[in-house]
Amino acid sequence: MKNESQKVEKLTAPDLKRALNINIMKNLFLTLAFVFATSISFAGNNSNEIASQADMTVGCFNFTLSCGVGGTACGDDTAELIDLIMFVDDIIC
Amino acid sequence: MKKIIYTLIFLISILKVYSQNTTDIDNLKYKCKYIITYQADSTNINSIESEEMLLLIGERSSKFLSLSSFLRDSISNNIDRENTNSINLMTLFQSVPKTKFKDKIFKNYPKDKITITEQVLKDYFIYEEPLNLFKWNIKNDSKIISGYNCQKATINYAGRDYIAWFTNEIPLSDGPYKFNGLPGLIIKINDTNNHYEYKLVSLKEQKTNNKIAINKKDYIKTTKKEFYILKKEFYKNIFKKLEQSGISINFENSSQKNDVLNKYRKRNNPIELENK
Repeated sequence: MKNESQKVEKLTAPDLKRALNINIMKNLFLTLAFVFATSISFAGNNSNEIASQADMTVGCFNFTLSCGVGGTACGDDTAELIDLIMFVDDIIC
Repeated sequence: MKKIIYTLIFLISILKVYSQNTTDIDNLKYKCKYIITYQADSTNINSIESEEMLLLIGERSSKFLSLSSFLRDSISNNIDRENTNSINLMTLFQSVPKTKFKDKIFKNYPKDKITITEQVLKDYFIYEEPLNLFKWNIKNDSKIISGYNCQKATINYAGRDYIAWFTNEIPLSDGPYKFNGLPGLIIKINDTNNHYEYKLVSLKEQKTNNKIAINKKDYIKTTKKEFYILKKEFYKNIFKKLEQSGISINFENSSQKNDVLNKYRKRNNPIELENK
């Protein structure tokens, strides 16, 4: 059981906004390496081709969005990837 | 290194401010972060999951959503749709935490109402409930939680009995999820089966001029009961629904498809057991 008398983290510095910004930036940098890797890997392929995760060894499947953009999604949580595909389809298509 | 910098410039170039995607509804005054711990499958006591949630409190209203939804909204509302592609989007969205909570709950917006919005595939649904949903029983018990002197309150809501701990030290009549109406902020609330627990982990007063906003969408008005039925049907027939909307998923083998359906079936313990 957790110690409930423990003081709450009041985010004096950095505050939540800053923390979130840092998180976004960190994720952007992490994403960079991947986007770069996939850009190179798929440079010779159809420009509509997508690879959604660098690790292609676990739970991969092909998909096509409603506007015809196709690709491969990989990850350990297929249900979550499908949620993500629905979300991206709404934005792109 | 040079290539990474070029890619960085490219990525930044696809991010563009589109303020018209949202409508400001209030000035942000406090940001509260809660951790939700819940049992996703009612038949499996080991199916415990947790997630970070945000309660954004304004001068008149508040907004409650998952941290992941907050980040995803920030990205999608700042993206230049014409000049980006799905590689960038999928990778950007995969870099934010996963979420099982896609609903956004606005309290006292409009006045005296709770407004709930949620996206299902390409449709955005909206329904309202009265703000004064909760008739609390305030008890004399008190204890220190997260450093605050808290008082106990109980309530039965949507098929669950809850114990809430609120503090008069923060005189904000708000809390996680739809919970509100106590004389102070709810620091912790859990149902008596311990299937759902929200606990405050941080609170920060906002000095900057940030806003609480609602996404501008063509919302479909519905009721809570209709929405729960629709959502249940959607996940039961998800592959058919995806196909109908033009999205095709081609698994390498049939077990992958069954695994996904099983996974959705195991999300069988919603916070609201009754949806009147």
